[in-house]
Amino acid sequence: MVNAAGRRELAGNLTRAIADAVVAIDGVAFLRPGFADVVRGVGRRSTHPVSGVRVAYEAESEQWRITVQLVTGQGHRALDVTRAVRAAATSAATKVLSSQLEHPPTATGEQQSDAGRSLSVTVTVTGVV
Amino acid sequence: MAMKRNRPSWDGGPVHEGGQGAAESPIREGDRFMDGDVNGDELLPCGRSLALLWQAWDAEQADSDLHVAGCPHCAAALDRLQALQDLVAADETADRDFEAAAGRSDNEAFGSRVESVTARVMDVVRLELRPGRTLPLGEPEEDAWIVEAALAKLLRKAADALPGVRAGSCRIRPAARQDAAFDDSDSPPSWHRDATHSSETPNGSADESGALDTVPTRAVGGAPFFQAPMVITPDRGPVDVYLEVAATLSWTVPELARSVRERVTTAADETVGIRVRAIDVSVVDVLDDEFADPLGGVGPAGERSHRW
Repeated sequence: MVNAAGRRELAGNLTRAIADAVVAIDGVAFLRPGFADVVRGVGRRSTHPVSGVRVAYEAESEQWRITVQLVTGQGHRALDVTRAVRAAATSAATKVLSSQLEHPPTATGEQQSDAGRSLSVTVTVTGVV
Repeated sequence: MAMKRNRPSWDGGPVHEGGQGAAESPIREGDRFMDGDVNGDELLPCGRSLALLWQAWDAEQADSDLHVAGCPHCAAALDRLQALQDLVAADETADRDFEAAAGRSDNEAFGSRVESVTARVMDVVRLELRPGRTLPLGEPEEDAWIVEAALAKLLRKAADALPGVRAGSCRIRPAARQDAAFDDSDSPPSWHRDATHSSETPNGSADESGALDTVPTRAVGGAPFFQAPMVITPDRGPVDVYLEVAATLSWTVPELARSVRERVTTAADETVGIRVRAIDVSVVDVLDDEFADPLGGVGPAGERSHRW
């Protein structure tokens, strides 16, 4: 079992891994920059290390809910980009969960598949540049 | 390009409220300001209006506010505002240095670029603060979305590419919601019209504050984690597009509507990947031929008034 502190750390690891995977995708200009957070002054107290990625664990459904907000570059079909983002985010999260949650680093393919089923990924295009 | 000049023009009245509370807190949200969140003001976690905080800061009254002095949220907001102000000030300095070293025409070009960058940054900020409705991308079972403003930008650009055409207001709504609202005879959406009537000029009430705002919406599952939650409809079906255009007299209205539809349909499919049920085109103005650009859109003289 993972306690609250462990879950927060895991959420941070998930966020960073997903962000790294998403920004590497062709067509993703950048993650939602969070300018609104800047002008609000909430950046310093934010517990989220990356503005465009949010990760939360829903105990009721025993599911990790991942929300990715990004800006795409012109010349790339937004739908194709979101599909690639979903695949990359799911893959990155599955690896992290498989290695850090209940499973050892040498998780089997079946265990990784279980981790993938406990994910919910929402992808939103918030802008085009 | 001073930061202070870019602030929204809020109520110009005095920030001091009468009464005992106001004596302690010059920017206290009195009765006059309590509808701030209703009107769309951004509220800090402490409940203070961000706009009023900026206003007090501009008026150099923030330091005398006891709440601000002890509130980490207000302090953080002011720190960030100061940082932005410093960036803008540095930009202005660079602008002046450039003016000293370059000719007047270059100055104008540089100023235009700075203005453009500033406008784009503010557009991004505005979009984050008011992301608006999110619309479904792809198949119904997919959990992919695009905000209306981003989609509208792409569709307007597609229409703008036609010679002698300038795209204006563009609104997109889920088609299912439109049908539901249209079936409600008590409150039909003010802007809803059948797509076959695309050449009709819309009435003046067709705006963002139309009856569509009464359509039930919900926050998408992940949205509450964001500071500016997106409001979406649960529908993942096709969307209806309502687009206003202005064009030169070189177009006939039916030809213009057909061409705009073709462009928008292609852009929606090939550029975005969203399913469109109907495209409602309204010609709302006539452009002078001198503004027409043979390569598409309008010339530089018309770009400044791109939106209306």
